[in-house]
Amino acid sequence: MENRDRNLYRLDELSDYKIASNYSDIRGWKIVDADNRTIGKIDNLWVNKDIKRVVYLDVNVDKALIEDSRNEVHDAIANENGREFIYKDGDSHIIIPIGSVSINKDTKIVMANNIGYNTFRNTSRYNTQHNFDRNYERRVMRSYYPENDPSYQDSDDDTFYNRREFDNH
Amino acid sequence: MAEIKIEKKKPVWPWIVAVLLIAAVVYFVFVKDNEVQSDRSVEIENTTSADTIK
Repeated sequence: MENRDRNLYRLDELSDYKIASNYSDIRGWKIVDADNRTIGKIDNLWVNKDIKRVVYLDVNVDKALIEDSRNEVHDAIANENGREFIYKDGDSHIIIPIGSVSINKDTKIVMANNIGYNTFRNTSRYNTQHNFDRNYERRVMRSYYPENDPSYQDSDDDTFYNRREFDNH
Repeated sequence: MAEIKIEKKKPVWPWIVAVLLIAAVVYFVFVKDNEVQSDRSVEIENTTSADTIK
């Protein structure tokens, strides 16, 4: 399914939209996990035009984290268990649901409160040259919130973003 | 937990039209008025010099 079908756009693409007043434009800010370890830099914001809000942060993953992840792939391949961990060159971005982070306007740092470094290391990444599909979104959500797994399976387009991870009230 | 809303940008063209209108009004009130004034002065000067020749 194309991102257009889900009304999902990078904010940069929408020249007639901007961040609403009283909200911070966090593009370019650093994102860390709950232990203050660097995850990457916020490269862009994925917005849903229907609900007029940001749903995902598009994060350019830190090189150290990618390197850690590669080392893990090598270990997994050495143990003949590497199929789940195959990444291609250029897969350097991940999406993080907006409801999973808190924003510190003073330090200009975004913190993923409940998602740890190891989870980010094991979460599948995507290449910005290609759009991601709903299956990728489900894979990512299962990685961050494995306890909610069944609810991602059957949800349709209208209800997918209507959950706590996207901070819908 | 964070939330960021987006909104439609307000169009810029109404401001451009407003600025152009104000500029036009200023032009007609001050510049045009000055031109009429100076035309009158020249006319008065001409009349005065004609009287002197007589």
